[in-house]
Amino acid sequence: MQAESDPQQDDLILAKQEGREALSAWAGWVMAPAAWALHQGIGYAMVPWLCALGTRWPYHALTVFAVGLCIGGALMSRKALRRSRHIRPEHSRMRVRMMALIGLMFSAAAFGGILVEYLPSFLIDTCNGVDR
Amino acid sequence: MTDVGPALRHRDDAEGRETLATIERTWQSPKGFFGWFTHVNHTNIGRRFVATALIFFAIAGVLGLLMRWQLSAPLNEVLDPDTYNQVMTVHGTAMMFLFAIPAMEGIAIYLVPLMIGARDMAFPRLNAFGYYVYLIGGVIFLLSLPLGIAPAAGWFNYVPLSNKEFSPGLGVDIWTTMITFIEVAALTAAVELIVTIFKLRAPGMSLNRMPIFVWAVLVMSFMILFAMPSVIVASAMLMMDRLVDTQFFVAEAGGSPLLWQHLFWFFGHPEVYIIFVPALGIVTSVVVTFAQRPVFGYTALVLALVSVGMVSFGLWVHHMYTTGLPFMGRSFFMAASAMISIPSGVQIFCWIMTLWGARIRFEVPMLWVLSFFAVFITGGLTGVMVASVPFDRQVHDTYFVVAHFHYVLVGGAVFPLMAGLYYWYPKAVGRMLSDRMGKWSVGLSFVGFNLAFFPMHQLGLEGMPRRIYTYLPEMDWGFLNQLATVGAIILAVGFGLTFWNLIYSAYRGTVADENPWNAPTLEWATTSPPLNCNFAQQPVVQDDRPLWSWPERGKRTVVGGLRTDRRETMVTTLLDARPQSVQVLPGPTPWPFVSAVAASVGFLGLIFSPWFYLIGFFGAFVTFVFWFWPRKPYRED
Repeated sequence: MQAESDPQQDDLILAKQEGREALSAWAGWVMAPAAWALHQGIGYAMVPWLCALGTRWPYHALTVFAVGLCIGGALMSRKALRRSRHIRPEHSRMRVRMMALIGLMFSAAAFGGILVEYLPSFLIDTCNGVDR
Repeated sequence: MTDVGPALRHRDDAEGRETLATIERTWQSPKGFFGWFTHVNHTNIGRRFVATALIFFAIAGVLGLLMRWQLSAPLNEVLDPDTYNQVMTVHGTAMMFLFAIPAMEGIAIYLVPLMIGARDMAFPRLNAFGYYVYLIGGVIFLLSLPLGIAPAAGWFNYVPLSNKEFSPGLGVDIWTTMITFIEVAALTAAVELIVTIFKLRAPGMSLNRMPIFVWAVLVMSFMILFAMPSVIVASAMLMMDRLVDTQFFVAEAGGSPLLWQHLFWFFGHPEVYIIFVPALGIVTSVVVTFAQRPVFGYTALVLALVSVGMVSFGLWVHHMYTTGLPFMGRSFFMAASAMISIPSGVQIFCWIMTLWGARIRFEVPMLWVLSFFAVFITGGLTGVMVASVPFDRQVHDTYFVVAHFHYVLVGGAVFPLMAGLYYWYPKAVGRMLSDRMGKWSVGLSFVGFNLAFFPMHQLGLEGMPRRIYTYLPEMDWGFLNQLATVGAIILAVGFGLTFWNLIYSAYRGTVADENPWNAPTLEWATTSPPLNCNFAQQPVVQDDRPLWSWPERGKRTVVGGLRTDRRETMVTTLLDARPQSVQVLPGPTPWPFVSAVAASVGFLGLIFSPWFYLIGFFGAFVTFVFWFWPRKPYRED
């Protein structure tokens, strides 16, 4: 004989499942913009300091960190996307899929943004216009 | 949850009618003059926000016309230099702070609960408080002009021009205090919109089923939360520089005038997108309805909206290319400024694909949207031009920039807003707007707008600077300025027709049914105008276009079990909108109004003495205590 399902228990299980998914589903949404904003904000603020030091290595390190954050967000979104296949009901699956896809694309866009902002540092005189 | 017949109403028998009457009594707003100050229902507050914003828009528009009159000929003497500066400052400030944001928030406040199938906003009293703050702040700010004490340092209030030394008098003080005050209203609206969208969606409306307009409002609200504190901090610092002699922006004392620009534009640039993002939601709603097909690329559109919101915070330095910033720093912002055209392009392509091959109904809202496409794309193209450092340095502070931002702001926000007014007016008022007047209004506005602002590109390229009150005949700018003035008059007639239409049709318009456009979203599932409780029974959603799929399914599912004798709405989970609990909402009360008056006494007094900070603080505190006093349902529980 099949045991009757307890609606409250089912709700609790679903809520827990939703909580677990939330972290990976939101990852791309949060990590990608954070990476881009950090790279732009800190990069912009550190220009006079770089010129005083006479080196660009801290900026390269910042870029590597920001790209790492983007990749982290992309990987977590990808994980959420792969897991979404097993999620029921259907509309929850579609919701997780949408959020993960956006997270993935967001990470790619932020990666592109970081790259576009990073490349000019090889082409222009970083310290032009800085009071030294 | 129970299945009911074809409408979200109670049964059409004596018992059903009695139940509906009880709910309506519960959600009713008091009548009469004093009753007006106690309203908290989102439909009342949203309508007030929009109406007040439109009145402020008309006033700011008249100021714009005055400026155009002054500039229509060289050495004109319609306005003296100081009055011109005041008019220019109040025009810009009113358009941005008193019209654009509140109008968008008003539409959001009115529509979001209806669109997500809720009975009201999460914090109805905070909603009312925000409106009174906005109303009082706006009226005081605008009154400064006829009193001759209006600010005259531009809507951007750059220091050192706005310091006490170069801007004596009360003008800048009024700007700093009233803008800070009005932004409180923007913040309250943002907070409650976020909570409402996250927690009060109808069961089944998971994030991937939310209408694009609701997504747009969500993004706008988060942007307000991040952007507004920056201008509040900046204006508070300027207020202190002027009032208690702090030196935040005084270079001689070690302060930084450039800090003002950073803080102001960190708010100022996202501000443009705060206005623009909900407009994108309006455009999507109109496009979907008049193409009669689901939006193409729902996920891409959401991604584009969120991307626009995010990238808009990384552009502010492009307003400061000529302030002597390092090359590399500028290059970051040049890249970001060009980058924002990508998500904007994605949206345009999604709309084109939605319209492609559809049997488009060219009704008035759709005509406004088509005008938006033409004007906004032009503004977007010049935006990419001024994003580039070398080009920007050539046209900085010229009329080219004036042309660009009017194309973006009017094309990107006002035209969609007009589309929204024509689209949702039948729902809000219960009558259709006149189609004939509407078509004349679109035509005149489109022609007038382009005649007014397109010549400004050329004026800018010829070197005409912004913010000047006159020019010499030898400059040869007279003809293009005259053309712009004629265009401005035609534009004013175009918008004026819509204003007249709004008033006329409220009495004489054809009576609208529930869903006159055959739209797919939930706001069209209730009566026009909506019931006091929005929906007699809250709907349950099974896909992203419920009104199109209900006839296919042959039934509608609704929420049952909510009490009728007190204001209750469903609370659902953030991601999948599964039922979680029931929220008891507060009823009408005058305390938000009293609190707003107490807070405004404090802010207004700050212009004269810092002691008013304490008076305002304690006044607001006392009124908040009465506001939050435990109310009846909780005492009963």
